[in-house]
Amino acid sequence: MRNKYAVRLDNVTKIYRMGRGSVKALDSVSLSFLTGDFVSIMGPSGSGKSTLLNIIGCLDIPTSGEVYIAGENVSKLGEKERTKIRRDKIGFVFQHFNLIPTLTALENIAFPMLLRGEHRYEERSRELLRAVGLDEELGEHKPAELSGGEQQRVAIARALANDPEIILADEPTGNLDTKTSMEIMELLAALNRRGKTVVVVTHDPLVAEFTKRTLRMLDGRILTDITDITDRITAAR
Amino acid sequence: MAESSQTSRTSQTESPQHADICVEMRAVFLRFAIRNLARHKLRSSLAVVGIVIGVLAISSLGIFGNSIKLSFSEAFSAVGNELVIYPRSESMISEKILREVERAAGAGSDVIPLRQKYVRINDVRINGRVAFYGLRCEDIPLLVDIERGRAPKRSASECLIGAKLASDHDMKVGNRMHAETYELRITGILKERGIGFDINPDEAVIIDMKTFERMFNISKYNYLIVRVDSIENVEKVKESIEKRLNKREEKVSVLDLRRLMETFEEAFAKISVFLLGIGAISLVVAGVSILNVMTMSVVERTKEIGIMRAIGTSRIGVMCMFLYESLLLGLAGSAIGGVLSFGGGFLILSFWMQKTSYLLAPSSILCIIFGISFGIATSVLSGLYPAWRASMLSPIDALKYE
Repeated sequence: MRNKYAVRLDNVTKIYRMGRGSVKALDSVSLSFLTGDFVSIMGPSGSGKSTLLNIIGCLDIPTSGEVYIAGENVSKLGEKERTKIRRDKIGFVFQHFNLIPTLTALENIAFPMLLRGEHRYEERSRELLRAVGLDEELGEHKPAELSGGEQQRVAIARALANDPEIILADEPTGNLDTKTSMEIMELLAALNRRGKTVVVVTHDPLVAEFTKRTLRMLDGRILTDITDITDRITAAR
Repeated sequence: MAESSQTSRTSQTESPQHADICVEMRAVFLRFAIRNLARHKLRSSLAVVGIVIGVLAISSLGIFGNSIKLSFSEAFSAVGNELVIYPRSESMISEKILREVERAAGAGSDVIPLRQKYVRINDVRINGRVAFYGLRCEDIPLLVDIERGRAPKRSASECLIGAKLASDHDMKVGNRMHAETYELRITGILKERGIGFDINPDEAVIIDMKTFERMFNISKYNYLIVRVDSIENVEKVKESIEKRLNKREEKVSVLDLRRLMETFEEAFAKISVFLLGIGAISLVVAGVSILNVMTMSVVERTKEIGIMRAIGTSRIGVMCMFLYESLLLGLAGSAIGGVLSFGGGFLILSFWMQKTSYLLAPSSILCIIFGISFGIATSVLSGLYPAWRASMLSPIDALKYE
């Protein structure tokens, strides 16, 4: 049975040491994302949204407070366990696509599966390639030979490789034109409709429009938290 | 679209989670390593060249040292069963002591008395000092081989000359030689024998004992060579001689050539180690170049490492990938170096030893194997630090790296 909450943060504070002083990137943040939620996080640079995403993504640990991912408290986990959670429970999508340049599109998609020891990686990579709307022949290309939109689709396919519960996207449309941005958001929305919890950090209000819930952050705190009622109703149905 | 994320759920839940890095992953890391090395062909090849030189140096010098040792033991294996007896209480060995040594040595051993003197020769061909050995006629074939001519007759004014003496001064069988007031006829030329502890006949003149006595008026002996029937009995004969002659007073000292050879072998082993050390230095330099290449590679690929770590690659996985790269460099360099070592060894041997058959001696092959394994080990060790550094990168910082 799946957890009610995909993500839960309880009084999370993150302080970065900067030389002699320190910066409070997150200031006692408490929040929870339901399983199947579609959340956008907005806010100016330095508001703490990237830090929040890193902590949810188990790339970073909070200075204080508790973080639960799919019901598991990850705030005290060691590097090894957090690596496993990143591999199995979380799919990352980055602004700069961040595909591995020496690997082909298909190999990039297969990579997380290989890390896990999944033997059916080849056929599953092809499935995923098709699922994100790419032609199979593109699978043999290196990232540099693909357009930005195509690269981001490959990145999304890679994020889905180990069928994670949560997709974390950091400015996924930041390097794409408007039309491609909309296509990528449509793809993420489709994933959400299929039950994935999707969290998108963005500057772009148009991107935020796609999500059910929008958090606005400032100075390490959550300023507003607005849920689109109509979407909620659809989701409940 | 996105249909597959549902359909494949079942397959992934039962996928194995046991090992940190599965076999497929290793294969991927290996392929990865090859591609990354191919990305910088020149840089990778230079690193390989470094290892090639290192392995080549260590193997060739190893072969050289080993061959010196081999040629030495070959030259002296013939005298392994000899004892040399020098006078101790007096300056020469008397007839009486000779008899006692003969008795102590027993029937199985030949006791060969020798007289030796440096004689000034003032001749048409030679002008200088030459070593003269006085040997009993019957002992001559025991110690030397005659290449041309025959041995001198008893008491005759005849002599044998060493191969080098003959070739250096263009002397032939039948020529005459003036030593002090005597005139000697050369009846034979010896086969080249090499340096020995007992006698060095290559640049010497050998005459009959009686002739020697007549020419130089010496009736005692400078030293004795005891040739024991077998190596196993050398120790026994030595003890017996010492017991008999040195009981009350140290009349003679007995030199065991085998012992001497052991000392020399130890010295040669040290030379070998020294030569290997020189080779090892070049390999260390090669290791530093791999360290350099790998460190550069880690810095350049920081972002890539960040991505890999973010999507769930373990620290060990990252380390493994970089170690594969240095392992591949090491394997390539060592293999090439190993093959070239045969050539290198051949050149060294043909230049310095004039004998290349040592190249295929088991101990020489061992040197090459040693060089190869040392090359691989150096590469992996040099890759260890950069790989460790790569694995310790924080994924967040690495992702930010541009």
